[in-house]
This record gives sequence, structure tokens and C-alpha cells, in this order.
Amino acid sequence: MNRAVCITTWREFKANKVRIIMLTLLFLAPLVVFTMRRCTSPEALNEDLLSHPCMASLFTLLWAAGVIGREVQNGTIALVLARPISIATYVYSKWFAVAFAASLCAVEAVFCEHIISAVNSPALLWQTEFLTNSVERVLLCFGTAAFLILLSSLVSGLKDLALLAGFGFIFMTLATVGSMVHHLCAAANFDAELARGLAKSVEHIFVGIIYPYIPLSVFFSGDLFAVGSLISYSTLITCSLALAIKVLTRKEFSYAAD
Amino acid sequence: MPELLDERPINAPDSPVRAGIFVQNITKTYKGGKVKALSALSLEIHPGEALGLVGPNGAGKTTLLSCLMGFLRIDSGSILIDGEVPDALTTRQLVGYLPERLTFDRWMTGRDYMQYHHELAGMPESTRKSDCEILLERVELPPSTWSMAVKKYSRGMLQRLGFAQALVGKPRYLLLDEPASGMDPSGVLIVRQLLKTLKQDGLTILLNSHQLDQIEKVCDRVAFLKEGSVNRIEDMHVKIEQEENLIIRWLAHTTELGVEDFGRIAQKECLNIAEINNDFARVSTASSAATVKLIKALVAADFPINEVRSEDTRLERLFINSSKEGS
Repeated sequence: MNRAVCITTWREFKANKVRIIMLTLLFLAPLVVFTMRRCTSPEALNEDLLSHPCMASLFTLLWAAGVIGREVQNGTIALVLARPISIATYVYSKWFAVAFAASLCAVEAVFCEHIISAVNSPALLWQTEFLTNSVERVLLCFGTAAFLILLSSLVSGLKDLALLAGFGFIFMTLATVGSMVHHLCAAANFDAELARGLAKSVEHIFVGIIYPYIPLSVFFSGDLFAVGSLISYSTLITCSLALAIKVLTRKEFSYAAD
Repeated sequence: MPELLDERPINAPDSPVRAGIFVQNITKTYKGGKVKALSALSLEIHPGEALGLVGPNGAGKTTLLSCLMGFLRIDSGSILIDGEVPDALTTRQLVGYLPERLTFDRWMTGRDYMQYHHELAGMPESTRKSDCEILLERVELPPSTWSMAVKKYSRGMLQRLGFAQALVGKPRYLLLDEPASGMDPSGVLIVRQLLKTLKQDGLTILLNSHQLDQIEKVCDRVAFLKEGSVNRIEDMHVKIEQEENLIIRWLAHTTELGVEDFGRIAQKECLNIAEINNDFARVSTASSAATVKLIKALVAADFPINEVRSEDTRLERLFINSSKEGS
């Protein structure tokens, strides 16, 4: 991990006004929704209104979009790699910087939501749901960041967003095709279990990659599903970062090729 | 700036690892082998030497520098810098690099940029501020601009900042791609002076520049690149006899001697007159000795000459000859 790379990633984000505005909106959006809910429904005043942990994915996306691709596009990566820093260190530093910053934002958001709930109903202050939610968010940030770092290392600029959209599109298409096959099999009185199982597996793989969410309640239950989740989560991080390192190692960073 | 110089021990002469940059038969192609950028190029750069790279556009100079930095992978051949491959971390500690098209994180200030590279170079935090300030002073970037965002810098100021960046980390080797590009005349002079000082301090410099006078004044040897390989290597310390193009001016209003008299002397000395005017002539001599002979003859004939200068430098003539040889 390189401190300079991490700090520069954070400072670069801070210098980008559009991202700061989007970050603020992302932070405020659930608070606005919850306030409206409290205004319209008096029972909501006694609920600990916390946004879903999936918000962490959005924070991560905001921090990670183009985090390596922009350096490749600008050519600044060449001067960084001209220094005694390995590509692996560079990738780990970027991943940590993105995941840590996104986690901080996501946890801060859930704390704010909890504090506001506690102001309305002080009894809610000692509820621990927000702590579970925070841990889930942190795990989600680190998992999503690894995959987004991989996407950013594949392309230059902000094209990783297009890649992500393409990935989502493939997932939707496969899910639709899987569902159609399942229905066709059912209509033709074939054994639909195999098709359904295959569609489910594909769905789980895609969801596991895009949204590596591990619900803590399941995790502490000692369920076999929790072990599977943990394995797929660590596999996602390891494979994404290893692939990002591999991709960047194979790339050539020189304008001489132009 | 002795405190900013490399103090790491250089390999002993009997060491199996030779100090210096050794490029052997490297080939580099682009677009799946369709475009050949470097073709069986071999070059040696000895410690403490300044080597200039000269060649037309597309000769492979920038590609060579990128290969030396490890940014481009060579198809065949080998590059060793102090016995290590270019992309080894130990090599990167030894090399400072200034690319031609330098790009910056434009939101940073000049000072931030230097401190960022100081940290990337693994230099101690205790000396960060002072080291960076010394280097910024060295390239004569005004202190008032140090805290300014890089996006507000002029092209020349960016180039100076880039040069200072290349000196971060006490490099032993300095690879410079058009260091004075976009600089004003004072900037060009600063770069030239800086290069001379760095060379005196023992840095090994590889300088790619289209400013031939700069290369001539700084470099010990010059490699002429053409179509991806070294066409010839010229030792700038060895005097050579070659044709010289001279411009001669005289004070026409102070003498009765005229164009005919100049023509007569020139004919006697077997000179080629390319152009002649009332008070000006452009001639070519076969060698420096012939130039001396001509000047002596003009002085002996009481010709009031007030200026004799070479129209092109030695490197310019060599470059022109090298281009002609190829074609």
C-alpha cells in the first residue's frame, strides 16, 4: 500500500466539483425521503429509518469511476510507474483508497440517519441495527471496489461506467433468457429443474460480482450459505485485483506508440 | 545541490555487473508488427556521460526512451541499466525521466506535485519540503508560483516543473525527451546550464532534443537515429575536418575594396561563393584550415571584415550529411 497514491486519489476526488455535488446528493437523498415519510406517516417517527446497505455500492461507484482509467487517459500513470512502485502496490493502493473512502461516506450516512431517527424517538438511540448495517456497508464497499478497480483498469477514462452498464445488460439478458427457457420447458412438460438451476447459478454469479452483499444475520447463524458467501466474496476481491494487476502489467504506457 | 545527488556506490570496474546503460539489438514494433519503430538498435551509455539522440521525426527516439523506462516492451534484444532490466524497481530508483508530452494532475499545486513525486520516489519525509524547494529553485520556478494550481501554469513553467520532477529521488541516470520544449529563451538557457551542471556532478544523461545547438553544447557523444537504428555515433570531443558554410560581413563604406576584390581573393583560395552582396558574402570552405586561410588572406588585403561566422553548427552539418547519406 502506498500512502502517496491513496492520498492523491482522495485529493483528486475532492478537486472534482461534479463528484462532490453527486456525493452530497447521495448523502442527502435518503434523509429527504425519510423526512417526507416522517411527515406523512406519524408511525415512522418511532422507526429507525435506515437506508438499505446497497447505498454503499453507489458511494463506491462514485469514488471508483475512472479511478485508474483517467490516469491512463491523461498519461499521469506513466510518471507514477516510473517511480519505484510496483503495479501491484499501485492497484492495492487505489483499491484501498476507493474502498476506505466509500466506506467512510456510507457509514457516515447511516450514522446520520440513525441520529436523526434518535432525535425523533430517543429510545431508538440504543438500537444496534445501524451497526450491523454499517458493517455490511463496509464489506460491500470493499467487495464492489475490487470489481470496479478491475473495470477501470481495462479501459481508459470513464469508459468503465459503460462496461458496468454492459455487464448489467448481459446479466438482464441472461436472466430473461433463463426465465424464458424455464417457461418453455415447463410448457413442453420437460424437466425444467436443470434449466432453472443453471439460470439461478448464472444469476448468483452475476449478483455476487456486481453486488457482493453479505447479510451479517446469516453470517453469524453458522449457515452453510454464509460460508459460501464468504468464499465468493474473497474470491471476487482476489480475482478482481489479480486481473487488474495482470491487465495493467500487459499494458504499454507511452505516447510514442501514437 | 550536492545533497540532492546520488550517493549510492557505483559498481566497481571488476564487478560482474557493468555500470551504465546497455542496449543490445532491440527491436520494437507496433500494430502487430506492421510498424517497425526500432530495428536491431544497439547503444551503450557510460556512467557520467551525456549522450544526445538526434534524428528525424519517427526515427524512434521517443520509443527508445520509453523502452529504457520500461513503458514499452521490446520484441527482442536486451536492455540493462546497471545490470538490471528497465522495469525493475531498483532500476526505477536510479532513473529520472522527463517525457516530451508531460501530463500533470492539474488540480495539484507545483509544490504538491513535487512532494507527491518525492514520496513516490521513497524519499524521507523529513527532507521532503527542503528537497522540493531546492529543486524548484534549481529550475528557477518563481516561489510565488509554487502554491499555484498546475492548471494555471504556462507551457514553459510546466516544463520547468517537469524537469524538477525528473530530478526528484537523486537519480543516477536522467532520460530527457525535449527538455526545453515550449520554453522561452531564458528557460532554454536555464536548461542548458542545468544540464551542464548535472553532467559535471556526474549524472549520466540521455538527451533527446531537436535543438541541435543544445545537444552540441552539452553532450559528449551524439547518436544519429534513422528508421529505428543507430546510423552513426559522433564523439563531440574529436575535431573533424568538414566543409564549413560561412557568412562574412565587411564595412563597405570604409573601403574602396568591393565585390570584385572579394571574388578575386575567394577564387585564389578556391572557395565556393553561394551569395555575394555589397557588404556580405556566403561562402563554403573545404575545412577549418581553409577558413583560417581565407580570413588571413582577407586581412592581408586590408579587407575591413567585421564578422565571420559559421552558418550552421557542426551537428547541423552532420545531421544534414546523415540525412543525405540515408536518402
